[in-house]
Amino acid sequence: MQASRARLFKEYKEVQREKSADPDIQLICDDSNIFKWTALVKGPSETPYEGGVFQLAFSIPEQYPLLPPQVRFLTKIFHPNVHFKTGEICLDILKNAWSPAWTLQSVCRAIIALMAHPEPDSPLNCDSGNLLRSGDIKGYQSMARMYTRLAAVPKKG
Amino acid sequence: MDAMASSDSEEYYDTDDDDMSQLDDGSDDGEDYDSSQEADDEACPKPEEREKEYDFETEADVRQRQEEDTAKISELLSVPRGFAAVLLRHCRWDAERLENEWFCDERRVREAVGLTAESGAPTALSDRPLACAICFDLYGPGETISAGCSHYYCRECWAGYVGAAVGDGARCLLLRCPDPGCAAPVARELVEQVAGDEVRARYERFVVRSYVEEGRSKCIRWCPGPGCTLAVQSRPGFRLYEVACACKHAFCFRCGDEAHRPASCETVREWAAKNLSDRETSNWVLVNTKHCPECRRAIEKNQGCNHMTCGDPCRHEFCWICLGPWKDHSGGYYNCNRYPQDRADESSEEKTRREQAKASLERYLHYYQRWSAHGASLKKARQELDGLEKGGLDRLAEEIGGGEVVNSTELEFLKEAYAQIITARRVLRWTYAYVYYLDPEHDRLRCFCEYLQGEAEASVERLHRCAEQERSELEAFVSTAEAAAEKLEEYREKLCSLILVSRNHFTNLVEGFESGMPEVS
Ligand SMILES: [Zn+2]
Ligand SMILES: [Zn+2]
Ligand SMILES: [Zn+2]
Ligand SMILES: [Zn+2]
Ligand SMILES: [Zn+2]
Ligand SMILES: [Zn+2]
Repeated sequence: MQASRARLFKEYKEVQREKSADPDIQLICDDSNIFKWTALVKGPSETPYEGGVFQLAFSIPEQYPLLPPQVRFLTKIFHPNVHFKTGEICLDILKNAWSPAWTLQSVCRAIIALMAHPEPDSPLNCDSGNLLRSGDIKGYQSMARMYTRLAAVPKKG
Repeated sequence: MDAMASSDSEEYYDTDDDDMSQLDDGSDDGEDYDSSQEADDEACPKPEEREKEYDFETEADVRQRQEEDTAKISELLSVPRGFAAVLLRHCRWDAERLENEWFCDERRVREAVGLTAESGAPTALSDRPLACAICFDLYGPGETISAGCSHYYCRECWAGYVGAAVGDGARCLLLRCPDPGCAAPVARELVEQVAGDEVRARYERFVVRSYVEEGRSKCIRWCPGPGCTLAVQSRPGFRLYEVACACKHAFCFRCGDEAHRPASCETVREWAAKNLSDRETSNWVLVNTKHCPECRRAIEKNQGCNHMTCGDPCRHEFCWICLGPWKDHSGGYYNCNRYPQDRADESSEEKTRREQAKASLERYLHYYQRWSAHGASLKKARQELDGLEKGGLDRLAEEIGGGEVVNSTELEFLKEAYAQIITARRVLRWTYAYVYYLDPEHDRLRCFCEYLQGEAEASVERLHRCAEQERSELEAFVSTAEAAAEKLEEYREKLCSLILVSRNHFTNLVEGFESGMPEVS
């Protein structure tokens, strides 16, 4: 508990210091609870998520960083490795490939990489997984783009 | 061939270490016992001495061998001990294979386990001040440590990292440097430097378990008995089937399941799957209360023997399994185990699928019921034997003739009886799975199997009844010490001869079944 708190506090300070270092990621710690974080990540360019801003929710266990944080999408996203309803993410580093050397920041980077390179063989969203596996890239992209526009693009005015 | 086909009752006695030795020799049990020993030997001859098929090894023995292997490899390949263990584990503890692969293509082997050339040592201390990459705290020179690679962490973070992996199970043997891009293995030297006593002990345990469990050698296995830490090493030249561990757990050396001769491992697997899929139907049949076939009184079975006697005034004697009169269950008339073939023929003549399904279910239930009834009796017998060992014999010795007639060591033959009952029930139990999978068309073979089974079954029922019921009569017998001694002697002779008969039956039975009975098939 003490160790996780100390480490999260250091991550917090690092995030404050590096604020402009990674323009694609914005990590925000909950005002009253250092075990709850949210992040805003930009959809990677040249993907159907380009132009969108996606919100992630982090729930951090007391054994952190020995155990991985729980992360899910709050913003709706059409992606083979993200559960469409719950936002749950299938990513090995959030499960058995976790290492305490990962940070919240590097987890966000890994999630951005997953958005750019879906793994259709371990789908949480079967519709989009099937589209990709059957080779219907266009179909997948247009669905993903549509949901990006609907849910992740900031409304103007 | 002889050694493996003989009944496992012999193996039961072959575990002559510690607790079983009292069955074999009473050398230090006092004079009384010595004088009775001869009579005992006459009535219950021991199975002939046979060469031992296996040896027991403790965890410490196994660890020592593992250490020796590791030290040899460490010297031969000039790598630290911990790396030698990582390499050996990678090759399933097969030193020869490791040597070959290493001298063939050292780089490939190194890469497979993450031993890059830079890492000469399993641990390294940083020589400059560094921030630990897990807790981000700053440390001075020599205060952070790595797995021989360039990723340094403080001791506390290492301890947490290793502790979490060890808590997760045997995967701690595959642990790598926490840096996501680094494959350097966490070897034993590092674990020893950073982990506390408890974690280290658990880690060591996984290492030694791995030597047997992941080892390529088919000659050694851990005993799967609850709480048992012994390993069984088969001696060269034996194809080992069944092991009676010193902890009393009897198991199959090949599949690790409970002992199941004469059924094969495959039969056991199929049978277990079948029971699982048909569980509901079979349960329904088994939970139905049974009634005395004479007077319809509800009967509860609370003894292990299947020979039931209804209460007064009925006194009808019948068989718990088939509900037939017990008089049809002795000697050559014993046919409780026989599946009434005409029943199956009749319904298979009816062409409807439903009736065929019914016939096949009935056939299955016939065998399942018997398999499961012997299992229940087996459990009872185990409890009895347990009770006898935990003071039951002493109580009995005090009971008989007011405690003046025998001491408990002279009653050891009762334990032998239960040991034989346990073996016999277990063998019989598995003959039902065996016969179930015989070709139903092959009548001659099935009949012959059933004949052997019937003989053996009658003998174990007699033995079980004598050990159980007639013993209680002995307990209840109140008379002069002299009369009690006489009655006890009579009882001993009877029980011992039944043990002998049962042993013979079961030797023949297992031999016959395992040979596949070429004379009839
Ligand atoms: Zn640290
Ligand atoms: Zn490393
Ligand atoms: Zn054991
Ligand atoms: Zn087996
Ligand atoms: Zn009755
Ligand atoms: Zn019967």
